[in-house]
Amino acid sequence: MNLWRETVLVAGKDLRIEARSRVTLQQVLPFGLIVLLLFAFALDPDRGVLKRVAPGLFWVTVLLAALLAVSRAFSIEADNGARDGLRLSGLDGPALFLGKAAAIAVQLLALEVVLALTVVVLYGIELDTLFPLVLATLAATVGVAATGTLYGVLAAGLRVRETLVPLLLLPVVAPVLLGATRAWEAAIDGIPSDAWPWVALLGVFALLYTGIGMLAFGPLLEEA
Amino acid sequence: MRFAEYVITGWVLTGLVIGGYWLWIVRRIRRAERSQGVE
Amino acid sequence: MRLLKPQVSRVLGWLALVAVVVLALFGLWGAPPDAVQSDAQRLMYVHVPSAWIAYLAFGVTALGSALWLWPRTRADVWDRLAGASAELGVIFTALTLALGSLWGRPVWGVWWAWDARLVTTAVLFFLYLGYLALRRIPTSPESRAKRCAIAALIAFVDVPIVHFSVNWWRTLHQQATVFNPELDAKIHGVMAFTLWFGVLTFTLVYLYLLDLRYRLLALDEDREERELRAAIAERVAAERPPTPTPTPADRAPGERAPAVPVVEVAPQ
Repeated sequence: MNLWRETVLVAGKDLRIEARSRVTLQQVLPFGLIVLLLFAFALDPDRGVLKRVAPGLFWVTVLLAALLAVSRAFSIEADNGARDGLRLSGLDGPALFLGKAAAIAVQLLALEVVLALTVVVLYGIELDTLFPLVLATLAATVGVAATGTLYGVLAAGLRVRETLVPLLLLPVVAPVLLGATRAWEAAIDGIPSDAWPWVALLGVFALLYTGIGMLAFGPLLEEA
Repeated sequence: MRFAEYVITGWVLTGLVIGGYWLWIVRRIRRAERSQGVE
Repeated sequence: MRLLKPQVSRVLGWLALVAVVVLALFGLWGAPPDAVQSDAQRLMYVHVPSAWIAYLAFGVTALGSALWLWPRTRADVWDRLAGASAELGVIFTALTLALGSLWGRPVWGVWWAWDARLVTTAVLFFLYLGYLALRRIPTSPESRAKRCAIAALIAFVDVPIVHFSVNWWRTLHQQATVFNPELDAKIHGVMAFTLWFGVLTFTLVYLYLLDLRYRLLALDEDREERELRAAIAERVAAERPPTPTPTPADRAPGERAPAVPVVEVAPQ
């Protein structure tokens, strides 16, 4: 089988598990919504603060939700020797990586759509110039999914995985938070063309860590 | 010296950190070498 | 077991100590106060070298990690070097941040500023912490080395991205001009000498401590290996039919555990 078919196979498996268990839908999404709500408790909705910092709050929420999504993506393989199954499946490391990362990315994108609508409603912002915004979101999501998958497999099988992955992941994706927030800000109430350099940065990040992930996933899976 | 409190704090901190770390390593090396000698 | 021969290490240690004393003399007394920063400049003589070591140590960790990962150069020494350097790195990164704050308060009026160098150093600190947390997990040395090596490289690649993006962000916002962290380009004479001497001093300190920390790491890992083998041997002996086997308490000091032919550990 070629890389594409294997990737689709792995991604399909993960997404089907989600379709049946609905954990992302029923647990991670509400978590994201609650975080958005909590920000309003913390930041006094009446003084326009929420509206101004809405892009940042959105992306912080997405990152926190991503931590859960990554944790979930690897806990589904923790039992019943499922990881051994992956190793023995004959599938290539790169394909396994791309498949898992793609599944996480798809789930994150779905989350982001709902969270974005929520931010529009709750914080009162307006999303008009969509094109740079959407591209930035796509690139950022791929970057987060790739790094998340990378750290997820790195910590797979370790008992401290759940506290370790956040500590490892968040510093590394700081540029994604930065770029995505600036891109959104530019698109919403700035000069939309200002978003493009940030989109480029996000794209480079996504490509870089996808590449690293494809190389490192196989060797790391062997250790898990 | 102007800002003496900042300057002195900084230098003392540097000395303590480097010296303290050195001491910590040396003591643990001695302990480890001693236990290795026993075996 | 060691990076440097004992005599070399000793000489290096004394050199480093002398250099520190000389640096203190110059930094606290010999160099004149700066025209703008006044005596706060004296913090630069430890802050800048500390920052240099923070990044150097990180580079060494990344290099060690890469050399370990590359099959042809894989050897314990690189993994241990990476680990030893990382601990030094986190200490010097923390020191850099603290000294920077102590400098910033009198000069800028604030304990912290959001510019590229400070933010990148803060991120570096957390990247180190993550690496060290990973190192502390008790897995097999090979497994730990592989995970740590890859984690180090992931982080290493990220540092320039962080720096670039923050720098870009802050210059776009024109905040950088107020808190310009650029060293006074006109620094010269005794001040320039002291600064460079500081970099040399800290490098000597780093190399000396690196060798020490490496030695400690090697000793600790060997001890863990021994204890593991002894524990396995005990376990195997316990599961055999009851023939009097010497337990560790019976063994005279100096006697090693009896060699066990085939070690078949019962699955957990």
